[in-house]
Amino acid sequence: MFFSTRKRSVVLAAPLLLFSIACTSEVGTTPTTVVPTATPTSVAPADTPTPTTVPPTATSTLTPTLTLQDQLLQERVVLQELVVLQELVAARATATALTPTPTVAVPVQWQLQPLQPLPMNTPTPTPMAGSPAETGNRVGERAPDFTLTEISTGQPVQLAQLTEQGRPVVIYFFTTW
Amino acid sequence: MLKDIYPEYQDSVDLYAVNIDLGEDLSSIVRFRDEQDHPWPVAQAPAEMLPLYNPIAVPFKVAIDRNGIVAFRGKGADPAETLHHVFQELSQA
Repeated sequence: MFFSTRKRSVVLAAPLLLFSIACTSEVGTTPTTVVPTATPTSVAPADTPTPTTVPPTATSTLTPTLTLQDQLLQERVVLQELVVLQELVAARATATALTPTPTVAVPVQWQLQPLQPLPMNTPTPTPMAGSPAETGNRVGERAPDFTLTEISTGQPVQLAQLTEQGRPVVIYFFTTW
Repeated sequence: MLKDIYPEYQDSVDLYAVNIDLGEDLSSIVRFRDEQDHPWPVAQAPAEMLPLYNPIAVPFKVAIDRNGIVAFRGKGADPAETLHHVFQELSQA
């Protein structure tokens, strides 16, 4: 849940970030064209450069009427909007984290079990003689007892009896479909 | 395939095929066994056995060694190499 919330906020934040970068770069570059300053490369003989002759650039044509103050104000509004949006995203993330996940009861026989490693990869646990292994269906545990009725003979077959006789057993679960 | 490997070990290991569909009638189990030419004894699963052994797929194999300890659990069609290994371990241990 945490990961998905993070992902969502990143998705929301990404366009905002791009937008803010676009705004700041635009605002950051425009003052050099709007505010008249004496450049060291200027070869004009006059003591002060004329403020009205600013060569039009690509940026200045886009925002020809904006003063530096306007642009700073605009930038500030954008930043404030960003902060508000970030707060919204954060609030939403908190709300999502607080919402309790509905729990569904899964029957025991349907629950997934961790995969058992193949015996060739791991040493087969051999319980010491006299130490009773815990009953269960995992490798190394004592197999739960059962009694089957073989279809052709009708004879009952009990695991405990086979084990008593020292017979290893393989159960092959199948369906006819 | 299990069917190809079984004859080699059937004297030393007891294999039982257990049908896990509790609603299946015995005649269709027998018909299936005959159609598939299965050489091993077949039984219907007792209902209480399934949660104990939790077969999560079919076919599903559980090997129990001569001490009654679970030695292997395998789902799906295991490669012949794995089956040989399991049966050898069972018959030697």
